[in-house]
Amino acid sequence: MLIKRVDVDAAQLGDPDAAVWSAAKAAAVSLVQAPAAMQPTKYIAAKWQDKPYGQVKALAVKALRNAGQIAFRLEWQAKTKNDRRIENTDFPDAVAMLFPLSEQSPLIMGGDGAPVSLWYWRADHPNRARNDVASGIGTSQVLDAEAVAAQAKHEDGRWTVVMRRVLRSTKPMDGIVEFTGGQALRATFAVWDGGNLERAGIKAFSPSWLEMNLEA
Amino acid sequence: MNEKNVIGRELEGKLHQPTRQLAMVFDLNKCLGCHTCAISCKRQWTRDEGMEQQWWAVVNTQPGMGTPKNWEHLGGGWDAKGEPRASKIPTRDEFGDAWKFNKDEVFQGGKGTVTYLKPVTTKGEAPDWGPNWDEDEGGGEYPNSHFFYLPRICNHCTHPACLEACPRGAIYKRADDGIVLINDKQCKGFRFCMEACPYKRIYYNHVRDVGQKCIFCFPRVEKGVAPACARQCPGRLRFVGYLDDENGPIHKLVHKWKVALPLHQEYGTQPNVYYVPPLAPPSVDMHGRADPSRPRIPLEYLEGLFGPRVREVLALLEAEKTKKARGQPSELMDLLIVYKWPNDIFPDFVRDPAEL
Ligand code: SF4
Ligand code: SF4
Repeated sequence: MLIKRVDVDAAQLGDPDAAVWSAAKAAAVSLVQAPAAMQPTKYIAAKWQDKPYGQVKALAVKALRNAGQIAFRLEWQAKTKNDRRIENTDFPDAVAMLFPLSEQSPLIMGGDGAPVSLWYWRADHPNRARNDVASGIGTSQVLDAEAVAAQAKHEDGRWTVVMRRVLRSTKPMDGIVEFTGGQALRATFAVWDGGNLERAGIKAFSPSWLEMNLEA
Repeated sequence: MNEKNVIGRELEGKLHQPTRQLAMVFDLNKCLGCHTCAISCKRQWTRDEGMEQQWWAVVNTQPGMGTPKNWEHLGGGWDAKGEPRASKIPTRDEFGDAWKFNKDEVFQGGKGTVTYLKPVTTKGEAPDWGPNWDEDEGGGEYPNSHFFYLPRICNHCTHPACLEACPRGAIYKRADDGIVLINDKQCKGFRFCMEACPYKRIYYNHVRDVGQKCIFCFPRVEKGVAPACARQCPGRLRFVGYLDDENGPIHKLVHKWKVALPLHQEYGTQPNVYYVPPLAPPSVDMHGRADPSRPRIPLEYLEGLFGPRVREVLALLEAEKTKKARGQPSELMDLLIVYKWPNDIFPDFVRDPAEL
């Protein structure tokens, strides 16, 4: 997928309803349930082995850049909107993008010496995404990195979320992803249905990389 | 997962244990149901925003539904084969929320004559349950109605189900004293621990998005001060010490006299809070005639909580009590009486917190 360079300001780039997005082409990313056998603890595997989860089948991914920023627009089906976190059983809907930080980074949460960078958006904090770094399942750490701005809407049983950041972080650090015009990049994705108490490894994820090229 | 924290985990058939284990014994024959333990814990640890509904130390009336409601039937812990038992997250409503009252409306809003003071939950609903909703109801039929108090905290288990359930390795068991703690920098609020703990002693802080529970007052314990619940208990029934200290009351009650029993041992987590089961007066018939062969708290009920040794323990307590009443010496009764407080009840933690 080509991430086109467009001449719009950051506000338009970050707005899921902006006209510039209707012109952009979407990649259909298919998602599968993260297997119960892959869950990091016996309790989680035992609890979820016979229960349906990770049922979101597809994510429509669009991406654009302007002079200084890159933005990803993710859209998926979510019949109910779960954005509350008061009751102990409230889990907000969430979506994440995973970028490899090395050639060998495994697409499932990275590995030892082959970390991945995560942009994690959750419906209880709709206007910002979190920066995590991970080197394996259960190892993700929140980084105090440059903010990833977000804007989201839930309409007609679908979430649309735009995550946006400057190409080169003004706060460089280990564990974050950087973008340069002309480069190739890849990512995988995960979606959590909060209404089904999905969190952590109980999710749907894309089992192969989405290959992208960033227009110079 | 933080693989460094192996204590409390079963790896390749071997359960990794701490070098020493702190434990408590609660003598249920002395509990007044005053909740001073619960309040002292609350004052010390759970006063922040997001912790309003948290009661790390609770006192339940038995028979009763407990805190959270019906917790004994929610699952969690380990089955007989050592496999995890599935459970569910107990809700705020089941724990009993921290209610707010419409004070402004009634006292300042000029509505004092048309409405009345009433509680609402965080969700804005009228509560139909609370942390002690069924207090003092108990069980049985007149003239044999009965109840007793069961103080409960996190059991700082030897094989904690909470610890093994956490996908982030955020829960650890300390090597020197076996205290089980949640590292809230590592915790991401996933709440698998709340499900897996069969005693349902973990709360969710929705403001900070983390799980929280009893910490065995580790900052006090490290300075030689007893946990707040134990120090403040007017019934003086909460013994604290190391399980392996042969001169201490814990070892004597658990291992020497064997009168202190774990709660729901069958849950498989090997709890480190032990209970001296409650003696009861004999049942009476409608004419007031006592039947000493049938204690008013049914034996089967107590066995359901504390296991098959209850009968034996109660008989021993009765026998030693009789000895003591006759003026004969009884080490067991002397231990349970706690003549010298605080030395006899938590000998390693006698320091006055006011001195800190
Ligand atoms: S009582 Fe529950 S929370 Fe406490 S250590 Fe045991 S399993 Fe964990
Ligand atoms: S403070 Fe002591 S006597 Fe009072 S309820 Fe707690 S354990 Fe029972």
